Amino acid sequence: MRRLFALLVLAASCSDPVRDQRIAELGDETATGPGPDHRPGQDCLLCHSPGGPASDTPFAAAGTVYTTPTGDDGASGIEVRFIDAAGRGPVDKVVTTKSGNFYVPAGSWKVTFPFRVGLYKGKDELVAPMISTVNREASCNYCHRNDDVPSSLSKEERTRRFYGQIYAGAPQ
Amino acid sequence: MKRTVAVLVAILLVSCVKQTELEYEFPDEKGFVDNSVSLFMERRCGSMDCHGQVGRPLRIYSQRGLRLDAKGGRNGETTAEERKANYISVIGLEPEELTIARRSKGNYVDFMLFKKPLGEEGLGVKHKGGPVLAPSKTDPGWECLRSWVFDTADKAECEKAASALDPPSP
Repeated sequence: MRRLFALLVLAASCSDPVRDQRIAELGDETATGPGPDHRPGQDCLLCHSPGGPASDTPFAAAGTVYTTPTGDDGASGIEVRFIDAAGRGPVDKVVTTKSGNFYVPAGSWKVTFPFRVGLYKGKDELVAPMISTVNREASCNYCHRNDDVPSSLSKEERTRRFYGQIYAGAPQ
Repeated sequence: MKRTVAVLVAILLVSCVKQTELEYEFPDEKGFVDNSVSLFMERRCGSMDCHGQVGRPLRIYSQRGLRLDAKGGRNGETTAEERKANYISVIGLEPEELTIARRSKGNYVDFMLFKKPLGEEGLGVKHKGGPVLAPSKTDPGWECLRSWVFDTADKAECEKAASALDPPSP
């Protein structure tokens, strides 16, 4: 009995309550179920990283590109290019799926922070460079989000605090 | 008896006044802004996934993260007001410790501004972003901070630190 109790305590201490709560707040799975197009706009690496419920498919980086700053339509076929502080990027080309999602499998890129990102269309048309570097957080939607921004904030306050979602178009 | 109470009250009042008379001594604001200490921290610490967000105790404002206001839009250049706010953030982190460090002329390094960026791995303290500086003369970021805290900010080291690890656009 004592052993069982000790095991339970150990198991409980292994989980990360902050992460668990953030995952719970993501809500239900999308209708299509897990796959490249599920849960667009959400913080991908919450689950797809060591210790997460999708740790069997870990990502080096991931996110979602939309067609407009505030709409829900994903931008498909956009190439997402990365370059990190060591001058490297993913081994394989990264292109958004029909939902606008993109992801870099962990095995494709050993990231040396910080890194930069640019969105390209066609062969080499740069449609949206990122001004800032990414210094720590490889889940792009962690910063680029609209869904959990408090609606009580004024437009100016939103602009001041948040980048908004990633979209494949000129700044507005 | 009344006289004793009066004397005690007087002593108490004097001791209270003494408590509030602590004089701070901070590294200078001009050096922080003009010699690129702020620029270094904006680039290396101030992205939105790190200290460029309202939830962090040490807030850093810049074009690359949190804005002080939205007058210049999301992507306008970092403003003078933002750099002043960065200075206030940094000196306000541990004002007493920073004062002791400034007066120590290089001997006192046991405070958060120095320990956090080293992370536990670098014999500092736990830093969510891991070790981002090394306590070495070969790390321009470390030299930038040290020179500013203890003497005059070394602009060359700060600029080197600001652009170090900054990858080109992909």
